Amino acid sequence: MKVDVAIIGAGPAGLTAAVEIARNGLSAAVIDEYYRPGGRLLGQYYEDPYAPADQRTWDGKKEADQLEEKARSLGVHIFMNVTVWAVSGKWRVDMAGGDLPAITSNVLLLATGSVEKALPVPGWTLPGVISVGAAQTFTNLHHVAVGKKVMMAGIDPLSLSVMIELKNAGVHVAGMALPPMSSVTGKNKTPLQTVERLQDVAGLAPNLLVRKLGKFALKRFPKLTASGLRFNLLKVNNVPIHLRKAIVKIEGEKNVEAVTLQSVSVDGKPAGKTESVEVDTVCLSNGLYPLIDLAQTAGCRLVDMPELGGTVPLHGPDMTTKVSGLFVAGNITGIEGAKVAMAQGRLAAASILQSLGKQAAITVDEAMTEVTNAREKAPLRFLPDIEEGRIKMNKIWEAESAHG
Amino acid sequence: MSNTLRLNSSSNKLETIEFYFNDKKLNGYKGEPIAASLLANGIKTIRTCEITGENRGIFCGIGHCYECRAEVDGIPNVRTCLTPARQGAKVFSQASGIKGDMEDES
Amino acid sequence: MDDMIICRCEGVYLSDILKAIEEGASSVPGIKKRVRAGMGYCQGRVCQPVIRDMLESKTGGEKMPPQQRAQTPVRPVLLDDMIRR
Repeated sequence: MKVDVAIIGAGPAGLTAAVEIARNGLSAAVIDEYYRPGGRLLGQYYEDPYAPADQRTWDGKKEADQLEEKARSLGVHIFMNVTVWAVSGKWRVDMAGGDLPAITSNVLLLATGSVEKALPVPGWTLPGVISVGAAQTFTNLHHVAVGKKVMMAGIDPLSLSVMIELKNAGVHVAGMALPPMSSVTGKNKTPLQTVERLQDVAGLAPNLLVRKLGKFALKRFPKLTASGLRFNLLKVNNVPIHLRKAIVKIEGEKNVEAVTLQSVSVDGKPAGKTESVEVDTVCLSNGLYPLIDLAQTAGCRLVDMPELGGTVPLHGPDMTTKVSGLFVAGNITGIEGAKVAMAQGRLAAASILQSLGKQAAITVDEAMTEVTNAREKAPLRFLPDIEEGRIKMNKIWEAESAHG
Repeated sequence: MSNTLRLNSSSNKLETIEFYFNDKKLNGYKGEPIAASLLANGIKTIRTCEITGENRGIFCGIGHCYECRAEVDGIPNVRTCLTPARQGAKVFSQASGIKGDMEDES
Repeated sequence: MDDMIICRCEGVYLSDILKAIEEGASSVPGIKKRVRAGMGYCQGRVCQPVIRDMLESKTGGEKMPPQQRAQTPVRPVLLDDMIRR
């Protein structure tokens, strides 16, 4: 099969781009490993307090279904349960798991999204220890309880949001605690940093309860001095949030049986006392990083940019790369929410159409403004310095372009 | 369906299928990934690690970590978190020495 | 802290990786060559960011320690799929 544009990743960015491309008269194929289109949209279900009154509930599954339907009605080829294992030439996409061994295209759009960052804890390989993203997917998409009694490690906007989703679905959450302080990477957050971070996102968290927690933290600890952080327990939805305890070990023979919590000082030093809490499931939350391997094999230069969540392909503000015919969109360019990814998908489509000399319904400039608007209105902010990261990337892009 | 870990929000309109995990007959919903059907049946251990011998199960849930891989209808290393079961599918844990230990709860 | 697995696929422990760093490994591929971390089914998708952070915190430096180069096939595939090509 030959198409004008091959898109890897059927998430919000890839599907939106496909719709836009097909709407303007070009052929597109979308390929994804998952069994159902939607990517991370599929697990999302939350209240967006900043959306217009009739759009407050963000039902990612519904959004995904609508995008899929639109794409199919416009003749987009969608390959699900198909793994892309190579991209080469200009362009050949090698696929496994489906009927077709490969497709070819003039343009390649990488919308491969992100992967969760591991959070190693002694015992984390036991069955019953899962990532917070898995917990979200199994709860909101598959409607299967991840366990009978769940402990969450890592206190951040995403894990708080998933905790509330688990509770709403009737899953027993025994508590949330910090990751081990004596981290192997030295990057885990101390109680102080955790509260500061929650304050950063207080106004932007995905639902009122998380926002309340942020405000609560702010009010209760106006000055985050070491002596100021003297609380032990905070409750959200009746779930204890242990801001001064860290999970130091997950115990069990064949499955998770318990977690060991240890009190820590404000700056993250172990403060002696440990306790064991019986649980059968542990969810680990440590953020996301962009999945860039296909960009790398396609010859794209990579840039380390912690502000964007990790290493990202060098790309321009219009989603182009230095490799001719290669474009990027969505979390591969930096970790943000679904609405930003969708706007980036539209932008990538506008750039692609322009590169092929096609008149698009939306100009590249208009689409770029939409991305900025989506970012400003984002209900959930994953990275505190995302704007800074975007500016830095643009500067590197301009400098590279000046050199030719 | 008698799956104990199904949530209330789970639809009762879905079609049920039967499949086998290590020769044991189980129920699942048509179209859902095998890992979801296994978890709904209380099964958390999907395989053992070839190197350490430890039990392993679902970890990332979206195909990146390969921890939930199994043999499905004769094809090895299938990621059960991505792959729905066929009616009558035969799923086997990979690696050896796991049979009796696989039951987490019933 | 107790020892623990860092690379889940190859069963590589924290102590193995720390030892590799002591012996001079300063990049993700360096660790990989010494102790096989990142060589398994997930191809480092789970452990590479952790190992990179470990290297950064142990060896310091302005730049992030080098990571591995993604190689084709980027996912494990059946020989059949490659032959079909």
